[in-house]
Amino acid sequence: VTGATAGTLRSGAPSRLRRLISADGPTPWLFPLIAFLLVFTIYPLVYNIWLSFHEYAPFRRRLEYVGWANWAQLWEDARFWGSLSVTATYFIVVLAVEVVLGMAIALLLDSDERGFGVMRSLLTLTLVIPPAITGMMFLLLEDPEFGVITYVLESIGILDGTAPILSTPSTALIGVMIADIWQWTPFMVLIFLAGLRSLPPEPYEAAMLDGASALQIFRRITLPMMSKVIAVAVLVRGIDIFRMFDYIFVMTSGGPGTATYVLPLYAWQQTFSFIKWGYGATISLVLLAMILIIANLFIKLAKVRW
Amino acid sequence: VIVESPARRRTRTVAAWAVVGLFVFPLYFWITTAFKHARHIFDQPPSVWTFEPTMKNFEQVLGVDLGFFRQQEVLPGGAISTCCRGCGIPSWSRSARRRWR
Repeated sequence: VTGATAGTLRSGAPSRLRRLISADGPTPWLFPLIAFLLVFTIYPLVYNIWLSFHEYAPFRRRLEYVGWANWAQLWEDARFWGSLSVTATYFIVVLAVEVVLGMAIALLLDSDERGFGVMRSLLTLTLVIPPAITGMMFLLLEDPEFGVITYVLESIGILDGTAPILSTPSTALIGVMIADIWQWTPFMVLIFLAGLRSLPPEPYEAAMLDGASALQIFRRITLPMMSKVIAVAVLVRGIDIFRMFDYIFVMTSGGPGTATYVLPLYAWQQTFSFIKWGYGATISLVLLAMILIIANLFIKLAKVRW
Repeated sequence: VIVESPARRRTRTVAAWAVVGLFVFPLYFWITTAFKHARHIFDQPPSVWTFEPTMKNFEQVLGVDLGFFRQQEVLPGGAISTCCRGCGIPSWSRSARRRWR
């Protein structure tokens, strides 16, 4: 006799509450997860919203209610809009390069020939390195005097030696993007390879019989069948790129000037360097709202199903 | 499904190794930097393939003296042993899989 049945027998008709907390129902089993979400997700989010209507007064050592002041300040803050523009540029360029390069490399490595397994394994090595270490690695590689990348680019005439990559406003963001692309393109390759390996062979056999070229096969068969996989990869990486902090913090700290100032770095600076907790919380809430809106729009448009 | 010509297959293999090499190079450079003296790290042009290896950086990080490795020649011996195994294991596995008549 189960708990619910026993309850029914005892009281005649089972009460709704008793059914809800019965071991047969899902509620007791969901409780640890709900508690976890409440403590680690809901509470920090609610606290952040509450914080965005307050500001820390360092001399009085307390948070004071300021109403909509932080939100109004955000609207007029030129630095916020500048950071937003840098974040958008970074997002579009890095995501586009990673998707195109990832697909190209995945197509190149999609083979059962000898050595390709080793190549796939070697490529995944970049994923295990912490982003801060990758930032340090590329800081050395792009050093104006001792860096290998600088040396190679100067040798082939792309750089002239007077404009260091990370210290010039026009190239600093590209320098950071190189580190991000280097580390996360293999992630795209992995996802695309898994997708390519799961495609059915029949459409390819039919296309071969019809005399389709490799490019036609890619455009008419591979790309449409891979669209869902590409959409998921873009969504996951897109959210990740929006939150990007480590590379810029380690490599440029937002400089030179404000050339590489992204929103997460701006929020961090306002919160911890200028001790404007309320304003920092407001910036991070805007960032969160943007990620949610863009991700949901993308899920709707690309018809992503989990 | 798509059958490739031997020439195309070779080109694909070479291109794939080149791409993987490009991705592995920064890692190689970073790892070898850990075994370099400061004077080699700040070489101009950068010393990528030839440098005098040292354990001093590891000694500093770990706070231990790794001198006995050098004295006992464990490090060079280990390197030679690793190379021998690197060559030996594939040939061993190949001969093990071979069908003896």
